[in-house]
Amino acid sequence: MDYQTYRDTFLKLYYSGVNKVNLNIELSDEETEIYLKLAKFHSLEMVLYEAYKINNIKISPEFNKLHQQLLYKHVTQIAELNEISNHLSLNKIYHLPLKGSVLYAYYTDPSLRTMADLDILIQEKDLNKAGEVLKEIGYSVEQIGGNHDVYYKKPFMNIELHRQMISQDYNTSKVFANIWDKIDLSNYHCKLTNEDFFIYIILHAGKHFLLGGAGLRFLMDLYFYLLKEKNLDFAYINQKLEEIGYDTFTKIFIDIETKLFNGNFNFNEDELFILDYLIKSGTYGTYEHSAAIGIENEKEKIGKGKTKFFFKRVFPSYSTMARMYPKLAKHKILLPYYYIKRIFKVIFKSKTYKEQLRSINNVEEKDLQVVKKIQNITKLRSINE
Amino acid sequence: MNKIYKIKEGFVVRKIGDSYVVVAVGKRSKDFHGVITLNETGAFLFEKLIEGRTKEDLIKDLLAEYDVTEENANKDVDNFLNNLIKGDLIL
Repeated sequence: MDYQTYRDTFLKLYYSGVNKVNLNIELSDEETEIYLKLAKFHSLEMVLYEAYKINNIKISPEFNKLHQQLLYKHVTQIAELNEISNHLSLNKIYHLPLKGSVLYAYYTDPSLRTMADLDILIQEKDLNKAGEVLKEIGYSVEQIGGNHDVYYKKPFMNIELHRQMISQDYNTSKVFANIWDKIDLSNYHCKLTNEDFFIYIILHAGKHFLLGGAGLRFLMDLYFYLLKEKNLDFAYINQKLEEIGYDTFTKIFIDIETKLFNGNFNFNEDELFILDYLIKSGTYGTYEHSAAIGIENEKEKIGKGKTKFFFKRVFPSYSTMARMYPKLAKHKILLPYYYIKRIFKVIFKSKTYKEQLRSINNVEEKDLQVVKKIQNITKLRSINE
Repeated sequence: MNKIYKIKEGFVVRKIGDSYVVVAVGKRSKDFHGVITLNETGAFLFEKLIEGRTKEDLIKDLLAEYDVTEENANKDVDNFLNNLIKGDLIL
């Protein structure tokens, strides 16, 4: 199968599954497996299931089983989110659900929106208490520190308690830096304004985009959110997005989702380039894209760019290190010790870091050209500057 | 005195498409990792049992809500309660 056919058919399946519209798509058994693999890469398994069902495409027993498992996970996550919110409220802890924990409710069929974890913003002063609340209802600590504390409960519940909406490592963190001063605190279960939530999902997608790519699922989030929230104050939204340089990025993504989910597959050259980039990125981006973006932003020849980027990955700034290792925030003198610890982790322990370093090495000039074009189209360059 | 049957705390029922699914949440989910699928009638009885009901009340509820005979209502409630007891969902 040539790439263009592969891409175009998948986009049609995407539209078909989201809107539950029969497009009389026919696939061979082999093709059904290929598209299922791509759907998994983009966390769109539930959408693909609906597309196969409505187009009378054969669904394998394995896919049926996966569908049942994801359905069970979805139901449990939503019920558990409700339970967590009730317990946090009982303990007088203000909490603001984020990302998928809010977005799923905008979907005409909420089960289409899979979630790897549930994200909740908590005021820094209440984080320990919120953690204790989670432990009381069966959660264990996985990680404390950084942008969020992580708790888990078998078999699949992961809760991220965020201390900031956007990490201070990123140049967009200032947008929501004092968010607790803005939020209505008449209820412990808090909510952003519809406009601020829209800006947040744009910035969150932008973050993934700039760190390694954002996948196709974001288009679906935009589609359903804008379908329900028809009275957004776009004068306010556009002003905020222009201030931080996200206006062009937002416009192109809205143009793409409007066409796609209205069954118009006549994308222009820039839109297709973006779609191809999204398709190759997956839900969370890839190390390869992340490395190419990082190296391109060093604004050096490829060899020197790789070296500079490599050192920044292995030896991040003090502020970044302090967020990863809370003790360092109080004792800056320990920075050399934590750098050495990090080097040992990279060399001996972490498969992830080794993969990232391999990706840096594998970047070619053509990858940098792709990044340049993406930056020219979206006017987004770096998450850190 | 007629026994009151009540679903243990931590079980919730949610509608998915045309089916209803029971999952465990909170502390309950530490010990219960399964999922139970119910039809509409089962979900109706389950919701009543969350509040607590005697067997006789459940039969009356079923007769008031659905077009069934008393004999069938009796049989359905018996079967349903036995399954829940076997599954350790009843206090």
